[in-house]
Amino acid sequence: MNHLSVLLKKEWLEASRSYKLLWFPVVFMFLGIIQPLSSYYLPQILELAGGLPEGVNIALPQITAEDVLASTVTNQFDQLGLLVIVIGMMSIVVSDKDNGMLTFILTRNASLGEYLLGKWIGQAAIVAGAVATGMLIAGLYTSYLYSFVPLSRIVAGLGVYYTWCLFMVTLTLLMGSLLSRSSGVAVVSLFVLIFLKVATALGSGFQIMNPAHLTNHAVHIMISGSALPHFMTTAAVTLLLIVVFLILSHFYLSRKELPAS
Amino acid sequence: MHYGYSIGIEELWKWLPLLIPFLILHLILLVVALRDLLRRDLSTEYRLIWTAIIVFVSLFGPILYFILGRKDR
Repeated sequence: MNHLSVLLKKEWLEASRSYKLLWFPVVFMFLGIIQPLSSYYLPQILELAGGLPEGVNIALPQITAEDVLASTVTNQFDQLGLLVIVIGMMSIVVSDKDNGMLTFILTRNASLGEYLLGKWIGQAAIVAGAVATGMLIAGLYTSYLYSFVPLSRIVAGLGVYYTWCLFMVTLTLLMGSLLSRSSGVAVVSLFVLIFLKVATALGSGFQIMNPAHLTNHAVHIMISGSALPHFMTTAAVTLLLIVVFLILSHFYLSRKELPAS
Repeated sequence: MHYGYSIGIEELWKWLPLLIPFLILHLILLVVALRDLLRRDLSTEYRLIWTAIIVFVSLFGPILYFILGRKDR
């Protein structure tokens, strides 16, 4: 497994050269700041924006700290965050295919599996760092503005949410190995992910098979401390899909990129 | 009738400690993006356009540069 560590080092170098190590966490930190601030200052913001017409009364709901963290995940991380993850990851395999780096790596005795695993671990680590820092900032702001949320709940919710993030990364990786243009990768992955997310709103029985449903589990863990029923099924299906996607991209690339021997 | 925004100075003071991390993060992104743009060998037009985007598109300007601007070299 010596090749893998070299490939991981290369991933690290690439990520720091493209400033991904900088802007990924910063975007998620922005997202983590925005939600607590905007929900805390909503009355003042409404007033600043010209106020409501006379005679209109809105009863703003009483928001708890857990609600704020939950909506950070559902409103910010799962929308802009999802977009950022896909767009940031769209060219990881495609650019290597285009500039011949993939062929070059494969001539150096590294196997395709090691290459894909290196890519996957590298990107997954970046996303993990970004999501964790974003959530940390959101937690700090909510505990300052609202009240303290038990750290164990945040960590547990984050872990569940991260599994869904892993799904996004793996899907983008798969699309990267199937398609040859990074814009196509972004469009297809976004379409699939947003479709899955919209499907969670339907809320019927097949949700337990839907990876996007993990967000709801994560939110439920943060708010009440326990997951929705059938959590294990959803998690298992997601992990299985991740493995299947990795195998599928390995299968496709090995047929496509390696000369038949 | 009053149009537009009005923020009192004292109100701004109250918000400032919470906004400072936001501003610092934005500043870091801005400086890194601009430094990278200026260090690279590019045509003047390209530089001007991206400088404008980085500085004036708030929050997402530098990020747009990192995603799109660094690709075609």
